[in-house]
Amino acid sequence: MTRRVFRTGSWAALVLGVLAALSAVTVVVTGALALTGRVTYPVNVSLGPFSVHDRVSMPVAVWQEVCQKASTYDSGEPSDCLRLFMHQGSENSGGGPVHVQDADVRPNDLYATGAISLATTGGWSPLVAASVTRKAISLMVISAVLLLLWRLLANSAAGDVFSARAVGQVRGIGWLVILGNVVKPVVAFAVSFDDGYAMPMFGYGHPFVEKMGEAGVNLTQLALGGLILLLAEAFRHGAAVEAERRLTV
Amino acid sequence: MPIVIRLDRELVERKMTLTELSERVGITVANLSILKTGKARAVRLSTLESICRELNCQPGDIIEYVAESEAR
Repeated sequence: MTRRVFRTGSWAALVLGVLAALSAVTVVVTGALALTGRVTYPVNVSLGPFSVHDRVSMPVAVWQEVCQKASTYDSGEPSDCLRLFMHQGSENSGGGPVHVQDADVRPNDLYATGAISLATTGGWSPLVAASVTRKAISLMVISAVLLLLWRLLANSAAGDVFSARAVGQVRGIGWLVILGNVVKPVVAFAVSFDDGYAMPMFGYGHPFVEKMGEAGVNLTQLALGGLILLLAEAFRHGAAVEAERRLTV
Repeated sequence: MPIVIRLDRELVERKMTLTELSERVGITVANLSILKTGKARAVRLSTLESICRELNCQPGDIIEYVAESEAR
């Protein structure tokens, strides 16, 4: 039963790992073609039953204060706050044209993160290069982790759970998770100072949109990598116990 | 290692092969070979018991401590 689970898991990891590797290759090829001016983003290519969809986006954050009181008569007028109200019950308004934040919870300000989808004109662009590099690194790391997981589970299915090879594979997964988390922000950091684009916004009453850096290190992912390395130590101990057991007559 | 396994001596004295002993005690030839060649890290008491029963010997006849200075 356990071996069947290991075998099924190993096949799933292999299929997903190969798909991630193919996606990485597609991203790199599409990126190279876009950066040399042969294609433009968003890319939508259909090859028989297969289709390739790739796009470039820029992470942004949106911020605006929420109005505490506003009138529907002024809805045509610009406002420096967002006319978003919360009322208790199913009623949309408090009854009159003037809305006041009267619920037991009141919205103060809006902070939302997302991405602006970009259309490119083709040719070299530092932003496109950074985006493609980041995406390719992510997919390559995911693919490598899944392929290592495939080998680990396949060996476990064959009864070779605790071995020096398994220790190396678990350690590899741990280091890949950590390095993937470090390398991606380094690439982002390298281009974030001057990516060559300014983003002025004008008009009155729009939420404030700003470019979001991706230079931060994800602490959760780092901790996960550390935990996997700890798990590798447990595997090392298990491998030592297993070696001893094999030489016990 | 100062612990020496004298299984081969006991087998020669009784003109018994490792395969024969393996069949009698129910331990694989591979495992008995590990024991005979001194590669084993540990010996179960049940293994010692069955070997001693079949060879009609004492554990001390199979396992011997030889000080490293003596061994040299």
